[in-house]
Amino acid sequence: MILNATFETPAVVLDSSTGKLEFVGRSLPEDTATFYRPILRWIEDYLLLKNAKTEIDIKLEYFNTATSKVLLTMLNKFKESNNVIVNWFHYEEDEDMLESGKEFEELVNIPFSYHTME
Amino acid sequence: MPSQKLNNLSTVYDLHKSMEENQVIIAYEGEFSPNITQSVLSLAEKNLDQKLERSQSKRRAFNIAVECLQNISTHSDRNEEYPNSIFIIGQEGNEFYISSGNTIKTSKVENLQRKLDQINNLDSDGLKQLHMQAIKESIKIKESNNAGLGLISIARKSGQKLEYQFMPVDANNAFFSFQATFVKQEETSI
Repeated sequence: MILNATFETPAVVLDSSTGKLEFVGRSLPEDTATFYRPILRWIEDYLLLKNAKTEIDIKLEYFNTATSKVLLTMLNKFKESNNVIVNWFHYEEDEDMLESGKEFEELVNIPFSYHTME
Repeated sequence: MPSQKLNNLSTVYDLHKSMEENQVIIAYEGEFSPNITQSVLSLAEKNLDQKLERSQSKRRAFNIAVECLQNISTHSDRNEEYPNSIFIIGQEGNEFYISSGNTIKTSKVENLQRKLDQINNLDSDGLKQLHMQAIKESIKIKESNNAGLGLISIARKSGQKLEYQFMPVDANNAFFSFQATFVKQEETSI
């Protein structure tokens, strides 16, 4: 699944052959359900494939509180899966985004790895 | 009708003067449909980009603007009688204020006031704990009320106490004025 970025939604690339799920840009929609429902459905189908490895790259500059709920719901779906890692990206000086990552890591039981982006 | 017209023209000047005196960067008064909210947000971002460039300060201010606007559009109790809400961003030196005003049902005032007071009584660690708790709870309930989470997020980004006021409009409605202040940090922007 490939979605292009808009003013209030991220670029999304979900690739079941490589097990790479990527979210890039910003996620600010008021109505998160319309945007994220197909993504959550894709993930449910993906989980049935029982891939050996999954990498979730989150490279967001902004997300609203409505999105944080969806992100938590989404990451929770991987709780039971093996070999999942979340690559959490932030701009070097953006401590808030780094802290958000740490909070998500505390909330879900998946290893996080932190990276800076240009 | 001429008097009406004259009245409108002086209103233009009065509003202009008042906005200038209050150092308003942008103000929007009217209905908040999803499309309009997005346009106001885009306008807010362009102005913040000009004032703050790409920096942590800009991101925080923009995040506050997003939550403020979405609080208006999801939680105001608009009706035929009171269709309009207001959103304002202003600046006084290094201080930015992001304000909103909308009509809500009087029956919701007490609960909202309790939430705001709870948030204002917490320090940054307390807010973090409250945020973690609120987000965990929010995904359990299907049609949950996001306002608490949005307000906590605004308080965390702002780093200041949230200001608010409820003005009775009639027996069933109140006008909720809200303001988050944000102080621009000294930093090198990239």
